[in-house]
Amino acid sequence: MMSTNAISLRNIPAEVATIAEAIAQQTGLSLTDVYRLALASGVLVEATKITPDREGTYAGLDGAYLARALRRHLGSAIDLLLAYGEHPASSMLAYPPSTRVAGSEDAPPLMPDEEPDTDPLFDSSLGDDLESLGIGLGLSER
Amino acid sequence: MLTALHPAIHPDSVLAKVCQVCPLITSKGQELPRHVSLHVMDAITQLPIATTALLVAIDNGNDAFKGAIMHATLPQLVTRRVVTAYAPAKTIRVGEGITSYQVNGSERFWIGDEAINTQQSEGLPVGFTTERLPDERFQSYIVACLVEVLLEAGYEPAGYDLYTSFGIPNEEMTLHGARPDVTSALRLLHHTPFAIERADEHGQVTSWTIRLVELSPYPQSFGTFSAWYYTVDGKPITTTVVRHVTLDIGGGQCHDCAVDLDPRSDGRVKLRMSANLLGEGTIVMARAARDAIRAAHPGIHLSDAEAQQVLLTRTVVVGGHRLAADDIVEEVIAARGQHILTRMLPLVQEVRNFLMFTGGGSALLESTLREMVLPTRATHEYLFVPRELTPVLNVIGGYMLALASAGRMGKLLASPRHSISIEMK
Repeated sequence: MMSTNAISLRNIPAEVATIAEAIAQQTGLSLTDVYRLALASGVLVEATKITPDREGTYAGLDGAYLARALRRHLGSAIDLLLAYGEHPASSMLAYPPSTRVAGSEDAPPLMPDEEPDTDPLFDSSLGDDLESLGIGLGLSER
Repeated sequence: MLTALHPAIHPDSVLAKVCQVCPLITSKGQELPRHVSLHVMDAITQLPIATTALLVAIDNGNDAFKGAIMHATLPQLVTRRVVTAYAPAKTIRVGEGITSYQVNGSERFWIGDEAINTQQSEGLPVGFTTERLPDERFQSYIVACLVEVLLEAGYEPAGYDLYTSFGIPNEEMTLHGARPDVTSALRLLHHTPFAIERADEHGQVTSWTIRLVELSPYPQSFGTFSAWYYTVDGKPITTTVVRHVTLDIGGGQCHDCAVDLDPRSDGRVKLRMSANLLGEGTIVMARAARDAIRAAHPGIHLSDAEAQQVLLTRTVVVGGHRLAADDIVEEVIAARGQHILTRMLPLVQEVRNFLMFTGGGSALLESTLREMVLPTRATHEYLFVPRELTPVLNVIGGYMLALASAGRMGKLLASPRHSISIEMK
């Protein structure tokens, strides 16, 4: 159930507001939506900063659950940290050059945690047919 | 219970499996994949981000949204059809309410049958993708439908990244994918985070977040061909058919989709596809039914969606009573059905074609269509898609297309292995 209590947020730093406005402008989201998304991500991060309670939960959230929820929110942030060598564990994450993203020396590998597809789950025939017919291209590929 | 298959349906095809309500298990004993792990370009940072997306197929029909997704735990493909109708939600004071939605802070609204059954049903745009998607109500309607698909398939309220195959009218595709203007329209949904609040009939509110991290457009009628031609593994069936024509009689439009199957010396079969818009679909009959009802009851003004429902349910509400409208429906089918059939006639008369009839209109016109094909064709030379599958077979095939394109872009994640035996009786 969504809370219906209105909460007034004060003292938001001007640079934060500027970034939020830029995101809204670039994505077409309303400023309210940008702040709503930021709040949803932010409270999960804040939950990791507090000491677990006696039941071992973080702000009432089970650790495994919180980790799963955070993964969605932090995936892009971790990619950015890796791309610019700012990830705290960067030195431990050494990938062979062949797996780096073209055009960026420090860019992350496309699929660092995956093995080559030796036993595909789905036959390539349908994919090959689609390719020859000009079907199956995602918008990201265009 | 397994039912006998039509001789034109290969027993290993996806169509055979869904006709017989068999679990969708690959030859390696695995359920069809539900997820793909992939990197997508972040809309804000323009950097690749890793995500695990749920696979969903959409058929964006003019008469109804159709969605298909693997059930959260069962090896079944779940389909959901939601009539294209939208109405601003009213407050229900007493009794059971109506499921309503709010998307990114929009007005609360109803969709589908519930929207049609109100006096405030609003028409959503009918026509091509570029005419429909820019309407913000339509975008809200689509994501609300996706929530219904997720719910139907046993998924909990949460945030979901979706990898979607997106069925569009055949003529909007080119050899290089969707037309540029169509691609631009689809980008209105691409990567946009949608926060949805769903209030069910008991007032229970759940929150969902949906992001379409990839949209892979496909020609709607090709979905039906795919369900007929490919196995659950994504391999083509062995067939002697060399020219397959799908006649897809949809709500808004009627299309043909001709696929030539050209066997090559290396054993592979090369496909060539051409698709055409033949004309308007069942909307022609629906509007005629609306006019006939208005002539008989001058106070009744039906929207396109409401008129389509009259065709399907063969009823109309007059003076607060639901009355049978069989006579009116039979009259308009007899009068206006010919308009649709005439456009198909050359393809039916070409006896070298294998014909497959699908779409909601093929069920309405089935008896007349059978009269057209029976004199010149043997049973294995044509196929009427089983009535219960006609509205959703495009989107069932669309799920196979989602698997194929997602598999090229990322890594399909394995679903549980299944040990299952099917008793043949």
